[in-house]
Amino acid sequence: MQPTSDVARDLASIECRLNGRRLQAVVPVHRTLLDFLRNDLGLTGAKRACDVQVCGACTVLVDGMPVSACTYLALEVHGKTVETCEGLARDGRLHPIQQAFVDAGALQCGFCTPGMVMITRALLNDHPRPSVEVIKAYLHGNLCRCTGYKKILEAVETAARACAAEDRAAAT
Amino acid sequence: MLQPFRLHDPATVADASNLLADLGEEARAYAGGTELLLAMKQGLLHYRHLVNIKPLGLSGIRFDEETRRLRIGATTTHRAVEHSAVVAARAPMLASMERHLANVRVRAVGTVGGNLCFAEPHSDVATVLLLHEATATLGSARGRRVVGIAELLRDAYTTCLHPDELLLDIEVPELPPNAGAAYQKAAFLERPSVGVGVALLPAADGSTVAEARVAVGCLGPVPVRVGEAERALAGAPLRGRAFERALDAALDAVGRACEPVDDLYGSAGYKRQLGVALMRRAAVAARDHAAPARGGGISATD
Amino acid sequence: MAEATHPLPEYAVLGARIPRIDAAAFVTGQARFATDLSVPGMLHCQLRYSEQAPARITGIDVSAARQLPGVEAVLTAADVPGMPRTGMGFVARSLFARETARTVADVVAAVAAIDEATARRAVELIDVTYEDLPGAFSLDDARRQDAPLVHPETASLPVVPWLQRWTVRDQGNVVTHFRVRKGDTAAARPRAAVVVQDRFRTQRMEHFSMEPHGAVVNYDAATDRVTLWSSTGKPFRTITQLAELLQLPTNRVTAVYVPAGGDFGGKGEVTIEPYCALLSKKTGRPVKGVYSREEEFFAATCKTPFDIDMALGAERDGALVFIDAGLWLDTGAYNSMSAMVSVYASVLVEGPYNVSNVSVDARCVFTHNVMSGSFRGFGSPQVAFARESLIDEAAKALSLDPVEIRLRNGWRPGAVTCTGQVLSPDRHSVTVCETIRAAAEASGWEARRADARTPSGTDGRKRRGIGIATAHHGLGGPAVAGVDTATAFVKANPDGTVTVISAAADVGQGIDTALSQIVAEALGLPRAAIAIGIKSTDAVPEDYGASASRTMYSVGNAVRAGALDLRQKLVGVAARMLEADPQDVDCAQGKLFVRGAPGRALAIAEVVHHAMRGEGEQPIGVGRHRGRAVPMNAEARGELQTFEYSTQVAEVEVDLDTGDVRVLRLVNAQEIGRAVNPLIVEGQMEGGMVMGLGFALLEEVVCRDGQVLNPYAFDYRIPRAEDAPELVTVMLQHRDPIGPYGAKGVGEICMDPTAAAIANAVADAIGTRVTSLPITPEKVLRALRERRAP
Ligand SMILES: Cc1cc2nc3c(=O)[nH]c(=O)nc-3n(C[C@H](O)[C@H](O)[C@H](O)COP(=O)(O)OP(=O)(O)OC[C@H]3O[C@@H](n4cnc5c(N)ncnc54)[C@H](O)[C@@H]3O)c2cc1C
Ligand code: FES
Ligand code: FES
Repeated sequence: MQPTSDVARDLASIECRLNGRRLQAVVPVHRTLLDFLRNDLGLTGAKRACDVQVCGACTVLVDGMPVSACTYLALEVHGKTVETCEGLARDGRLHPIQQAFVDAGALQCGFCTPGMVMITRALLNDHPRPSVEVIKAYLHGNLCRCTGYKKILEAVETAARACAAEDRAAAT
Repeated sequence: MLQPFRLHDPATVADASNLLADLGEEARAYAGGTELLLAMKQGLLHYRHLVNIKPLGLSGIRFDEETRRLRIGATTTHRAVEHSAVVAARAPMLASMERHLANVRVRAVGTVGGNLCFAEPHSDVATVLLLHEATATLGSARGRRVVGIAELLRDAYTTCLHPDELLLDIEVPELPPNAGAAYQKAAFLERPSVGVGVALLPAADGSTVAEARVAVGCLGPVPVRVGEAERALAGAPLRGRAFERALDAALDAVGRACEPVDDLYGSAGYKRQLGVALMRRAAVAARDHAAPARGGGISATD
Repeated sequence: MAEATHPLPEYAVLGARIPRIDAAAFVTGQARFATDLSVPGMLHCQLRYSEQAPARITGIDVSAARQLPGVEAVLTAADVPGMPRTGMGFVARSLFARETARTVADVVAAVAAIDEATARRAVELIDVTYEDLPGAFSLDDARRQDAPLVHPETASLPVVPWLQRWTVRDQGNVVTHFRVRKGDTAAARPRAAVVVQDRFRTQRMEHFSMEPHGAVVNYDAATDRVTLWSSTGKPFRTITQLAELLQLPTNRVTAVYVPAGGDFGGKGEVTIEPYCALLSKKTGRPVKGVYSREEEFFAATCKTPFDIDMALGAERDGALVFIDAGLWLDTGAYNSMSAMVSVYASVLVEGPYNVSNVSVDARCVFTHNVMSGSFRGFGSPQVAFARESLIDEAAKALSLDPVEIRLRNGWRPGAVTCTGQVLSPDRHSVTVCETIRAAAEASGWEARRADARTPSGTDGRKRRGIGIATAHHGLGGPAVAGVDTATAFVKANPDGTVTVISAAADVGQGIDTALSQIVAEALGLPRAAIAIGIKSTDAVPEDYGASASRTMYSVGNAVRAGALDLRQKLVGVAARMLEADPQDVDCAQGKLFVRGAPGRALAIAEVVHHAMRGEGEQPIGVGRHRGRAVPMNAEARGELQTFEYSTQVAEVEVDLDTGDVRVLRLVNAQEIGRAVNPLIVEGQMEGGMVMGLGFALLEEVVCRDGQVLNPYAFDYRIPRAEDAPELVTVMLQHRDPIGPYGAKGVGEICMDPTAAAIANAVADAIGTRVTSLPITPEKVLRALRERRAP
């Protein structure tokens, strides 16, 4: 017996903006955002690597903030904006963050890369001109087994400069 | 892999409380889910119902000038605490601890209340709040009560919350302006291996310790205040050899007080040694902040 | 006019620091790894492991699982008659445990269901009953005479052919013994002015590739063929093993290449593929299986833990007189590549040094632990840790500088290795001392060493230290299994573009980019005109895969030869078209032309068109690499393809109160032969150094009574961004006489001496030595306590 004020659900209908486009869907309440993106929507950019919120391979942005999609319910995005690495490039042009990762050689196997790109995006949302310390603090939860991080740090610094330049250009 | 469950979205604390009462063992409050969903995915916990407490309006940070207390709502995220100017001004040690907790994603989603209510023994939040002598307001359809952190945290993964009770907020008394406080942690694995906080509240003339607080976390099922160490430091001068002597006695007391066990974080002996080393650093940092070479004011280090 | 100081000729493409050709796919999320794939009708596989081990399995009840809606198939030993076994050394691992479970990774049942959650639930519904058996979990226990035997049938356990020479059948769990003998260590020992010795331990380390093992496998009953998309870095090894297990000929098993999300030596053994294949056969539907991170830890291989007893003697001037080593390898219950690792490690014990007396005895020991195997470095980091520690101890005893003692002993051209291989200059560039000097210089060794050990930190409770270590790496494996070979085709297309058909597996090392640079160089084409063909084991020649630092050297050589062959063919056709002597025809800037007569030029497209439609043959270049290795004989005499060298200098800061070790700086002076793409080479070097840091300080898979206690990312610490020190890479480019354009492998040697250098730096900082890896804060504090104690 359940109280009348209760709205219990095993399905949730969600409406959100995903990579700039409106999306409506009905998901089981226990569906993680990662499974929703990868299995239901075919957006396999975000990866599952640790499944315990430690590695950051599943990083996506919800209302501009980074979350571990592996341990986050899909229904939580209702009424919010979701960004994945698939949504960054515009008109066939890589986003400056993506371009910076390419140019710096900041990827090897590439499995951590979508998460790295998205955590960089979150970082630059919060700190448009990050110090090395702040960059490392944001990368704390994003693991890369291949690169040794040096080129990733370089890419993030380049991306910060490029994004700042783009913002300046947009402002004038 | 998450097994199916039903999600409830109550509108009020009373509704949530009733739901939890009715559903009993099969239900659990759900805030950020960073602990809960993780444990459920790993098959460590099974709930057929989750009660979403995020819409209950429990999040927010406010400083009450009258009581000199910081009120942090239970569903306030770590990120909100970390970025809060009020927290930075009123409880800088808390703010700096939050900056070094978990990672940005966990901080964006996980809540202060969830951290306390999960009662994971490796919590920085619990240790720092214990040091602050924070209180927790618990509420249910039956009413409210206020408990201290030590009372809230009964044992590893166990709180004093009744099944139908929620943590509503915590109140963090501001430390006096001339106090010095510091929290030191060591983290080799994902969560802290040891966390030690020290607060030194100088006497009116600013030359001796009027009150000392020492909180040690992660070395037992729950963080503890080490009374013997606090007594050793109380009354000691803030400068010179006498402080060092008092500190040595306090360090001995800490070494005796903590009863760690061998686990993945290290052997008991190592963890005790680490606790003592961090205690020394925290105490020295707290002393330096309490009695700065020039100027004054509260500060914190990590 | 000033002479060019750079000895290397300039090339337009070769040596260019260009980004990866496939990078955009990864930053946009478009790259599809095996674990990203789904195909219509696909089922999901989950495995049920034995939770007790060693144990006798007294009952397996799968009825509840079979009845669960959504479950399409459940397989156990009962469903696989005459169960085939597999193994890269001992053929000891069967697909399903029938009566005995030797490890907690033994598979009891495999389930296919409509989704992962259902498969998981079904796995949990399987009821298995056990009777406990006594186990042997440590090297010491397993070696005891009365130890429970991991394989009671040891005496008859099948072994792959190359290993038979070193198999022992009558020593219980000790099942291989590989010996290296050079000179006479016993006789040499008294001659040494100083003898240092110790016991060293290296840990079980997890590859922690970010992509877990996974595959989609489809069995097609109509053609009796299996197609798979797998995370493997060694597609041919995978299909060979899979074919063996499925009792199919290899030409009926096809692996389609997909990018692998990391390998590091961990993606060579079949893992979930055979289960998916059997389930696909059973259900008639494609089956996908992906390991969880936990399974990565216990079900796939880990780095083989070593116990090393080593003694080393030197003369007063630092000349090494002898090295004597006993290596004990905990191979777990199945001995994947560990036997090969033991051979390789033994050969490398001497280091790149002239040591006239060498004696090594390496033994593999079965235990009831989870299976160990190969890991980037293949035994070299383990033995380098022991040897380089002792060399520093010897230097200390003799009051020699660590750089000096290494320079004193480093191989010179013409050196003779402990296996009798002569490193003649026509086949080898031997640049050990160059790496030592370069590392010393780049690190500012002398000045920094003087600075080190001065107290630092705000309260003077930190100590700095600096350490150096040198290592070498044998390229292409220890040649126990025969000659390394690679073949490649380079195809000119009618539109003038070129497609490369090679078997190189890109596991993140960027080999496709480098190969396209090699082909562009050889043909004088812009890089954009070169495409790497889509690969499958049907479409490309047989290959060992991404292992043993061989891909650039071996496959790269084949590709270069293929490109030159194509060039010659194109030149031939063009010469006929232009009625010129082929000697006078050149191929550059995307054109074929008569030298000195720019008007007489043809576009490549025209030449290809004429070749095909006029002469009736498409120009396709064929290139081969034939490794010049001599398989090791029973006396451990033999030759490797070549060696790579690296010297590294680590600077550390140790917190005396907490035991924390921070690496401040790592310098790697590495002989790479030739940087086909410096950006990629640098990336390999940096990544290897940081992985070496993890080996040195952070990582250990903790096993207790056969159970892995920390199979989660939150309890197993790999290096994070903030752990990475300042990384300095020095690429030495003394052309290799054989490798393509002088290139050698770079991907393993870059981490071989890292842990040793860090260990030496820690010893320098704290004045005492931690002899087991990882050097955790706890071990540092214990070492400090013990130093004070006596
Ligand atoms: C990778 C990782 C690293 C971490 N590192 C650290 C660290 O360094 N230091 C540290 O201190 N912590 C650390 N944590 C813990 C982190 O702070 C908690 O995960 C987080 O705060 C929990 O909040 P939540 O809202 O997600 O809780 P949930 O998962 O939603 O809930 C946790 C538990 O609390 C109960 N609960 C939640 N809110 C209430 C309430 N208001 N009333 C009653 N019951 C409630 C739930 O029923 C559940 O049992 C780490 C966690 C992770 C995953
Ligand atoms: S997969 Fe989500 S953080 Fe690792
Ligand atoms: S590039 Fe492979 S994990 Fe980062």
